[in-house]
Amino acid sequence: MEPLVRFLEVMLSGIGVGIISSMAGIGGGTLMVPLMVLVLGVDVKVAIASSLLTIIVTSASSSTVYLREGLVNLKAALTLEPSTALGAIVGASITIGLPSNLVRRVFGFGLIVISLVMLARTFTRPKEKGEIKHWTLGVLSSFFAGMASGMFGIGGGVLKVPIMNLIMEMPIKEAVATSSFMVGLTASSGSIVYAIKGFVDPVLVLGFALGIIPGATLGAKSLKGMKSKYIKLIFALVLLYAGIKLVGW
Amino acid sequence: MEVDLGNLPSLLRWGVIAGLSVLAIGIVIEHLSGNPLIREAGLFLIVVTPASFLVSLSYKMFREREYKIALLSLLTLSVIVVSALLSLR
Repeated sequence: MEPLVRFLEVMLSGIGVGIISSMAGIGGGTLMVPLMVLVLGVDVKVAIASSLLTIIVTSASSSTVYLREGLVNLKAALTLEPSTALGAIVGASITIGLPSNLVRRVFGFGLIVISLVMLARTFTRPKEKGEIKHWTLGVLSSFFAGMASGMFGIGGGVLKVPIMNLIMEMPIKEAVATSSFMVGLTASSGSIVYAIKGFVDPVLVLGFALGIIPGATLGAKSLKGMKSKYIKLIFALVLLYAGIKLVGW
Repeated sequence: MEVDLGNLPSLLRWGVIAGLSVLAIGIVIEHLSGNPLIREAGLFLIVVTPASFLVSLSYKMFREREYKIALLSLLTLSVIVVSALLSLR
């Protein structure tokens, strides 16, 4: 009975992550890892690894729609992805080599940086139109977005979208769709490293994947009439708090 | 750049659905018999879904003479494969 209870607990958490992440307009990774570590008591490396595998599932689901609608800029995605994937592998290898206690603190610090990026984005006007520029800078910055993904078990969309929209001047809708497609590929590169080393908890992957998809649909429906700017602001502050808690300040 | 992908995007969705189904069955079997093989197969299916999409994409793009996209997807694929090989060491 105990494994079933644990599975239901994980799935309910997944529904919660799906609701909140779709309301805040971000991928679930930034919320999943702190939830697994701080609430479910999972080891940070197992949480990161399982989060990356779950992200492959959620990204596949959303990018199928974006690819069909022709919103993904394949040229940009596949130009940026090799350096992003490389970054993810480097990030995953760094995390595996560090003791769990230190990873927890580094993750907390990373979460603080991500929450600050999110706060800045809340007050930045995204570019709606434009021709793609600064490819070299985009490729170089993508390496670090990939590294964050591999190190922290996040999709990295929170960094990829600003790189494509603010640095490369890709229109915001295209940047979101392209990032959504790239996230799955990046998570796949990072998760291979963790999976081979045996860090993945299959119950966490299954529970979160099965919870996030209906949760995201529910979140998108309940978003109607709510101001997403305030939701993003609250979410960034919650992440900031989780980051501070993980660092141990 | 407009590229007609046809039914190719469905590969991503069906790949992970297949992976999750095998994983669910594998978890139950492991719980009953202690054999982790099917569970591992489920995880493997999920992890290789994006890579198999890239293989199919590059094949389709080569056939449609979109050589730039085809080569870029092969480059991404090679990075993923190299990462797997390095992790095995």
